[in-house]
Amino acid sequence: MVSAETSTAYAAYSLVALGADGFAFKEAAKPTIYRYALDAAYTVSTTPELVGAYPSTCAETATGTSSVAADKAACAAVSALATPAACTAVITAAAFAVSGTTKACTYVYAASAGTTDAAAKAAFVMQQVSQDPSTYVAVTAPTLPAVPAIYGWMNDAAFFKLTWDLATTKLTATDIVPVPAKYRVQMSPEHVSFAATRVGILSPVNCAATTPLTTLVS
Amino acid sequence: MDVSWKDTGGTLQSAKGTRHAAAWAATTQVAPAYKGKQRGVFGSYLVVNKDASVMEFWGYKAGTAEWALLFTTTAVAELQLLGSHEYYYWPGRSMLLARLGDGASFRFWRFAADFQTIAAATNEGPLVEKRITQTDLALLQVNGRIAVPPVFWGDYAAFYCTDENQATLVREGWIRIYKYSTQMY
Repeated sequence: MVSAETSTAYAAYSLVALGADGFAFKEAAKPTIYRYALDAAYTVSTTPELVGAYPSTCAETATGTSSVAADKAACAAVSALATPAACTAVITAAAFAVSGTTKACTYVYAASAGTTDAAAKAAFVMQQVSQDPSTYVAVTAPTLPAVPAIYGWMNDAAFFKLTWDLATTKLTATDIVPVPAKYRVQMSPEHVSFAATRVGILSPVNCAATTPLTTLVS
Repeated sequence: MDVSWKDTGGTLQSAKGTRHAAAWAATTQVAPAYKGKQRGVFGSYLVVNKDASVMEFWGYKAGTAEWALLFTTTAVAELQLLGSHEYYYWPGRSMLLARLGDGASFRFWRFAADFQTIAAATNEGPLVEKRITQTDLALLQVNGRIAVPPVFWGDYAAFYCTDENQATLVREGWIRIYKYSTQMY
């Protein structure tokens, strides 16, 4: 049993599978993440390190035939992480301009998606890629089924791809995808869905044709 | 005991008067009006309630962009669906979980990669082991309000539920982890 109910923001709760290492759960508006192991007692443990501790790197990832010269050069120019904002700008630009969907850099830096202060940690939300009956591969013991990818975000600026590691009990951001400014909307958990290759964000719109409204509807 | 009936003129009556009868009628499910109000989505499929006892499986036909009704379940009077969007796909067991009208039970329907082949078959004889509606499946009971969609991994399913703690009278949340058992059948 987790602590008493203190919030009605159910959709902001996070519940994801960690494979043989159990399930991770995070309450809304609270920073602590709990892991329920799949042992005899389903032991619960708190792993506050799951939030934060992201490495700050700006690495060149598109090389060889997958790279685009202009993007590669731009990435190399900021790979020293002297200017994190510039690194993000390169990735965003590469995704839309020269290289299309191929990114020249992988930028992992928590601050680019907000801050890692207490408020940001409390707002952190995890979601997992939904399974598809048409593509799910059934396995038999001792082979273990695959764990769907886990994503998360702290605000509407970007979302992370997370990797779980039992040895360090950390969920580490291994990739970050900035949300382009023109698509940037409040990423309410109930309005975001991750699939195998795409993410859907239900955006609020103001449908008023003549009279300005102050309330946005989804 | 409240007894309601229609008089010869078709007006609803009850032992407690006409007004009570009208209120009784207003709160009684009199017509199926569920269709299109659900959002049980997984993969390229969508589950909706046709009415309180029948589900429809919609989806993209395999290999095409055609959106079509793929399968309609058979109404079984004792299996009344909740009428909400509480449909979940348990990939490790190739099953669809649909919450029932008691608010606590899930019933299983088989849902695997060959769903469309099975759904389109007119002769179920050779495919009896693969039928979508396996009436010998038992129920999975998950008490409380399911606050977030459950997640599954292999034989395991994790639910986060809220309910009132009867000892403290405080609404609390629980993680419930279930492991698939053949005794569910």
